[in-house]
Amino acid sequence: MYLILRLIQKLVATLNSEGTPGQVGAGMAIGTVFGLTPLMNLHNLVILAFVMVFRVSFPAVMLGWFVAVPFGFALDPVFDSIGLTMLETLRLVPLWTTVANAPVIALFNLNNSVVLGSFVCWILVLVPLYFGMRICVAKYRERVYARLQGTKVFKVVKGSKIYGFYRMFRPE
Amino acid sequence: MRLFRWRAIGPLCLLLCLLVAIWWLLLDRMVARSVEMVGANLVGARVDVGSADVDLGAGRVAILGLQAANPDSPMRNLVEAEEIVADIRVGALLRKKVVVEQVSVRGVRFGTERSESGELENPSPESGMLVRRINAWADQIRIPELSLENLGEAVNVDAISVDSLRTPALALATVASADSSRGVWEERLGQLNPEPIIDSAGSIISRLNNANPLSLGITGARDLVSSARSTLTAVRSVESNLQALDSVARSELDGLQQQLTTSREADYRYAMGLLQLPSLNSPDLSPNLFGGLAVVRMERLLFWLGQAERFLPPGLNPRRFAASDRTRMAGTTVKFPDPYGDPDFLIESADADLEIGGAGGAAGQYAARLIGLTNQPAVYGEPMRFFVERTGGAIGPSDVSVSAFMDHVGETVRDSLAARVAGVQLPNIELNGLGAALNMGEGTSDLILSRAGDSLTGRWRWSSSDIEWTRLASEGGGSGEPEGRVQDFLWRAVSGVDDVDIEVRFSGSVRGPSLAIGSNIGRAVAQSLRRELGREVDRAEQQVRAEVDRLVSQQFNAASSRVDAVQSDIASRVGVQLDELTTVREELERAIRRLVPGA
Repeated sequence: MYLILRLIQKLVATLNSEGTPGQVGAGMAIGTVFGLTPLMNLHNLVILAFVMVFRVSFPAVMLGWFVAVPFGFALDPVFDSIGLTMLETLRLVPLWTTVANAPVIALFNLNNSVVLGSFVCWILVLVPLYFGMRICVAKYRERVYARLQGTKVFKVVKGSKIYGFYRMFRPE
Repeated sequence: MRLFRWRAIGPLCLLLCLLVAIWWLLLDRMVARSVEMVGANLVGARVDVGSADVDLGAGRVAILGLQAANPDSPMRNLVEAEEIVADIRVGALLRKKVVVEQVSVRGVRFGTERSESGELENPSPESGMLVRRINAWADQIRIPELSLENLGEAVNVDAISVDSLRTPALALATVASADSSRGVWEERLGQLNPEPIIDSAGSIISRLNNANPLSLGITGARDLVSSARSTLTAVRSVESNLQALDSVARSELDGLQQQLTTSREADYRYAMGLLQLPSLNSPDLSPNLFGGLAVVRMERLLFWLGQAERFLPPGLNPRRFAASDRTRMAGTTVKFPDPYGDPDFLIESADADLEIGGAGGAAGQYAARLIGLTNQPAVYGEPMRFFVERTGGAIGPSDVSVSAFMDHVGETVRDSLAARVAGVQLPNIELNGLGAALNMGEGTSDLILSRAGDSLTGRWRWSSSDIEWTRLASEGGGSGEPEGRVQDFLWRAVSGVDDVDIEVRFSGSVRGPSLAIGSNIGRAVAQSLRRELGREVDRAEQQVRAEVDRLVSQQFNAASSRVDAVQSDIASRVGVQLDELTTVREELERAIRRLVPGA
């Protein structure tokens, strides 16, 4: 157990070193996939590997995940409907036949209506979300952070453990 | 800015190794759970797996201690297998397909007892739909009741009420229909009024009779003949229309009469049913005696045919399935068969050593072989074949053979099955109508079935010469009372029968086949009843018919007379007009022939 905790601690410490608005925005946009799509699917493992290897903000990924979870549950019927419509579109049947029978890709469960619907929705919101979050974080650091820095609450928070999580919003 | 986080590669590899290790540790349990879930869905009852051992390196999966509960008897297993060893194609797993090249099954037993119920708490909706459909079919089958309670008693015709009979209401409706028909026919007769054409024909006939070809000249004679022929055509047309009208009117009014007669016959049967008297018209009372048994067995057969169609669907169209439950919404999984690849599930070949225990005639060892079982037959392209043969018997005859052929490759499903099992324990049947129970003992079950598309034909036959009759205690019916007396001679009739042969023939749609049931016992009972009770039942039937006639005769006769009256009125009016037309037509033809000989 100690070894696992040390591993996670080191992992977070390693990943938390990046914090540009672009990295945070990318982290949050990518992290929403864990909340929007059903978690126990192979595509999430691939995306997890991606965020670990590339320099996106890992805490932002976690934040994006937690924020997106309730949306994922609430939007499941919509994802189901979108996914089923796509799967039953006659012109796309050859594509789905290839996807559902291709080695490894078949294991991604893209022939499930909720998985496909949520994954496609995530792809569609990924780029707008990235740019939106990037702008928001930049504005925040420029305007809000300077004012917050002098407040008593901020100093208390800064001394607490949750500041470690907050650091991703700190300007370089 | 550096793009890669090189220091994360190590932890990432560690994480992946950890995940693989967890998956590896849980793989056996996951396989066991999957077999239980798929099996339960297939059988419609619990399927339990003792343990599973997966060796992906060797491409081998072993399932130990498999038990599939019997959905009709949850405290018993349908089948139990000690060990199933499957050689799988590992590469196919990357395509999410299970291709089993060879399966060996050892230690198969049937009908073993379970320690806990095998009933499913939440049966799959599709299995439930199939069961409901079969139950609906079974519910609509009318098994005639054989009751002897009212024999020998004074027939109580008070039970027959006029309100419960169909004929009076139908008679009123028939009168209204006859009146309505009269109006319609009169209107049509008015429209076909032949008077103008008869007048016109009369005028042409007189011109033809007075015509002199020399004075008319060629043109005048030709015009006159042409005009006469046009009139003749018109006369023939009206004549033909009148004949058609007469024919339709007769047919419609005959139909009304027929309806009345049929309704009265139905009322006779209904009234007989109220008295619960056995019908002696049938040469065979097997449906009364063995209808219940036949329906129960056929329900089971139709269930398995339905499951075969569900799990071995024909064609290559994508199919929807409800996905497995999870915390999030499960959604729908759509299967897309790849015509050039492997099916999602395939057992290329399976061999099993079966053993039926006990000391019965069926006890012994059997060898079963299954070839080409797949959930996507159109992808596999070959029909499924299944054979069972006996390899060694404990005692008894060795004529046990099963062969099944299921061709679901094309759009039209073609199944055939021939199963003959000798020495099998046949059921005990209580024949309450006879006051007797029949223990069929060990006998032969012989099933032949053929299905092409929606059409199903076949027969199921049970025969035994190892039978035992037991007389059931009669409720208050001493042998001196009429019912007891009847049961006495029925008992004498059946207890002398020392073998049984029941045959159920089925044909029609696979969703609701019709049944024809025959047996030597049914025929013996029918003969015996006719011999002993013929006069008594005839007397009761006559009384019932007389009472029905009394209740419905007034309305019946009134309606019948009204229909007759309309019929004769229409016939006479049409007849008069037809006579006139015929006379005019013949005169016209003669006149034309006179002017143009040979025309």
